Amino acid sequence: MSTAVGTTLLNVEDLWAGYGPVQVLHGVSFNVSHGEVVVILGANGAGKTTTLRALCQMISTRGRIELDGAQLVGHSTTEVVRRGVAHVPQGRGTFPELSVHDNLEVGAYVRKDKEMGADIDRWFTAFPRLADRRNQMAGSLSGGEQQMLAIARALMSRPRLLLLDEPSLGLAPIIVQDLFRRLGQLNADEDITMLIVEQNANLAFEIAHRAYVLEAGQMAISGSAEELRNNEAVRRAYLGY
Amino acid sequence: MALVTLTERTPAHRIYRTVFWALGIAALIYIPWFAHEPARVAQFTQVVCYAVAILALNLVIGYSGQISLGHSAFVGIGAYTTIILVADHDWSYGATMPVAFVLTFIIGVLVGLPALRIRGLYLAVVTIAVATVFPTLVIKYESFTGGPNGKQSSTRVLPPDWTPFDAHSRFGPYAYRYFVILIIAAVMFLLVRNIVKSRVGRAIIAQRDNQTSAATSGVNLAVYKTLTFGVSAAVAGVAGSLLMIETPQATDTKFGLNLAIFLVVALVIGGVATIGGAIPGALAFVFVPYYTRDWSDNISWLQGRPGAGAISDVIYGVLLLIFVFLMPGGVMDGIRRIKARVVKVIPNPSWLPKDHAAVIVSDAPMSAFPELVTEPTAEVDDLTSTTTRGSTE
Amino acid sequence: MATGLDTDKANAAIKEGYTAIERFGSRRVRNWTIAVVAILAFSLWAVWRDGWDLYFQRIVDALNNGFIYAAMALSLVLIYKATGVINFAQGNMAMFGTYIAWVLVYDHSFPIWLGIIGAMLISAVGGAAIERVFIRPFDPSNHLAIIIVTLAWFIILGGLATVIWGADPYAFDTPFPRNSHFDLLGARFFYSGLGTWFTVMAVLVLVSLLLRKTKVGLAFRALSSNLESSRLVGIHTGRTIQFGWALAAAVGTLAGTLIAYKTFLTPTFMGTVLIYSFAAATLGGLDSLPGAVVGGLLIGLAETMIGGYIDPIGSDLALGGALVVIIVVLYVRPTGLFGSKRPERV
Repeated sequence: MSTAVGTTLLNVEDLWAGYGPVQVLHGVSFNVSHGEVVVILGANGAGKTTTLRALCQMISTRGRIELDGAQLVGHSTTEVVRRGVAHVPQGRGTFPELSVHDNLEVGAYVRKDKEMGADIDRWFTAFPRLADRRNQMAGSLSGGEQQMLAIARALMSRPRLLLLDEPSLGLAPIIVQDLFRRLGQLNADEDITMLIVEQNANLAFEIAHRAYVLEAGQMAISGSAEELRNNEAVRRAYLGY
Repeated sequence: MALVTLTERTPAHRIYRTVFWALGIAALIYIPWFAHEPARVAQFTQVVCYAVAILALNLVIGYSGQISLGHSAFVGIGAYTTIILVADHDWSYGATMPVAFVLTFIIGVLVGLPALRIRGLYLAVVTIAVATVFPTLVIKYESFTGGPNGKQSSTRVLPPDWTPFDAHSRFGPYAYRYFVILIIAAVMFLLVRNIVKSRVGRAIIAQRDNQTSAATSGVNLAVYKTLTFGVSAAVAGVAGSLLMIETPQATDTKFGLNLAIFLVVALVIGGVATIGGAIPGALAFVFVPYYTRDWSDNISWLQGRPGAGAISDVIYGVLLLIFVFLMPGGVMDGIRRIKARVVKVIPNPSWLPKDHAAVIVSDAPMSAFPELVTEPTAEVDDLTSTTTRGSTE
Repeated sequence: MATGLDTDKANAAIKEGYTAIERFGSRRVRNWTIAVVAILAFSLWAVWRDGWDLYFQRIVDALNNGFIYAAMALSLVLIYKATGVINFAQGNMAMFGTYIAWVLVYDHSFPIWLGIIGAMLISAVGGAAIERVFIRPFDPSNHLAIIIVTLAWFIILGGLATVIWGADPYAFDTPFPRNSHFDLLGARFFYSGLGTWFTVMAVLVLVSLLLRKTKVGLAFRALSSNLESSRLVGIHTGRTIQFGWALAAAVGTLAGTLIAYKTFLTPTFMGTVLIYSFAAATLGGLDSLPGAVVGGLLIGLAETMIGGYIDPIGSDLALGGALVVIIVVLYVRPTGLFGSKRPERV
């Protein structure tokens, strides 16, 4: 579980990643501290999804990725997940043919303890709409419900770090509002460290502590959420005003 | 690094290509004398026939990206059409070929249409059923097809007087038939090559590599794919007719599922998605079983076993595994890599403005099986180039 | 909680519900009615022509084959769900497994059930080995290469069986009391047939429990549903797929041993069974396990009923009937009866 808030949980240095001969990330560096919510902003094609996939070792990477000091580069995705990284991919990544309950159960796949049932109940209490649909196939849920399910599924593994890839994608604004409110709650109440990647960042900024801007595979700007919100260039490009 | 670098459409490149083709054609012409024995010439003639069948199959597997396990039935339909018309109705061999072509085209379209409308392995399932059903139909309709005894004709294609071949020698007719079949095969190769390079061909290849974008480009893919499958069946039917010219005898066992699968194996060995791959594939198809069948006589623990001949099947299958793992692009890919070390051709398409820098094509190996590679698709301008998939995710 | 959210969703749900009822009302009911009427009409005609006893007997006989097709279709669907690929070697893997059972039972005097179970275990190991060595090295999305590998094994196993045991038929007894039967309602029930029914049903129940109650079963279902997400959840995709191959191989071998007493054991004896199983899997839906079972039973029924009552067709053309079924299904309802993935049109 998370150690003292404020110490570095994830440290990424000089990360290069790509697909075959196509390099997408050109030496990216950033870090996330325990208990923080960090947002990475970027336009389409900047490499946001690639960054998260690189962290999970789903693609070939070069560089340093350290989780609480332990190197992640070179390990399999399964190993990375076992070390405590949970990834909610773009488009939710739920298991559409599995029931809501089974989605949560499989989220705890790497765990060997006996408290999984209790955790499932906990998430059903936190998301009553999911409880209503516990035996329904996940594919029949609405976009917003699937996003809740995906997050709950990711949290079932009691991760040290939660990665979210464009959680707002394809959701109505009012649902996105609710979503980020809950994420903020989770971070505040349970100290869950989050790295969120977003294109349209208004709502993400409300719960973020720090942010980076990724452009064409390189880190362009970094700073506290406050600083970036006041940065004119960032405002124009990513916050829409 | 290549020894020699040539730019397209320069005189040097033209000379290189002319020499390359001239050598190839000379080799093809020399074959009957190289083979010497009539039986051997017959074998090489068979190679040409099966090359046409493999070429047909490639249209579906290599260029459309779908699996067909039923081309044995199309070859069989072509063969039976020819032999029945020749033996029972006194047609000439040549006249039967257009009939075989059209008939197999129609049947191919009928078989392919339901399966090609939908993405997935349905074509494989349908064609495997077709391949299995065809021999049973042949046996069932005995009066028409001669049933399990098959059908044969004593009429053979003989060299006319104006050719240099003596119809009365042993060697002459075999050599003559080789050339007749070679010429018809060449026509088939040209046909397929033109289809692949045409707009329809490009559409088919595009959908093989990326279904979604091809679908959105406004091209009616189901129609194109079905027509291509029909043509593929038709070419396979012609191959069947050619086989009858070589040896006018058809039985149900020759055109069953085994043939269909062995054709696929030959295709992979030769080179998926290459025009020229049909040739090494056909060579493997004819000569690997021929030589390995003799092995069973030499291996002691196989001697005397009733099923020992099947060892050639095992070897054929193992050969396929070796190729899929080590050389998925087939023999053609191997040749291409060797060629690339010796000669490097820089593309110079006619539509590029004169002062534009030439585009350097990467020398990275292009596997015929789809991989995450972003090479630009190569032109089908010689027998070894492979059209591959390019995609980023 | 914003109430606006709930009303919107409620309205949308109601709308969806109505559209669903409409669609159901218009097409589905119509199709099912046609099917039921056709079956009733055929049955009435059959009974009128040759009597109730023969009709019932044929159904009983049909189910014997039907359960075998169901088992093979189950194997096919297991691998299809896990890998997206049809294992063309499934039939010959089952054939080879049946030969192994023969060796155990007739060469080494194993009791027949022990021989069958032993062969199933050996097949499971074989299936797992084939997956590990020949399938896993490939990118799971490279379907063409994987299919070629299954074709290679189709050839190799067929040739190997011929080399080792020859092409002549071997006799393989039924594990159930031979020739004893009882009569009920005008039909003769052979214990060998009944035994097949119950064995396959038991296996189906076991597989179902395996998939729904165990961790590896959950992993398998998750993997079939979403490969990438199953990696993100920490599932060992390779090992889980391997489990699927092992299970499919074992079930296939069981099907082979149960049908061998009727067809005799030759290197090609599973060939037609495989085609019928393809038809069954397509009919039921390539990604539906219960669909495979229902499809198998239906194909078994169709084979016997149509082959038996419609004389010009007979048994040799029944195979052609399987082909027709496949084509018709693809035209009318490509996902089959129970398949879930919507067929993407080209």
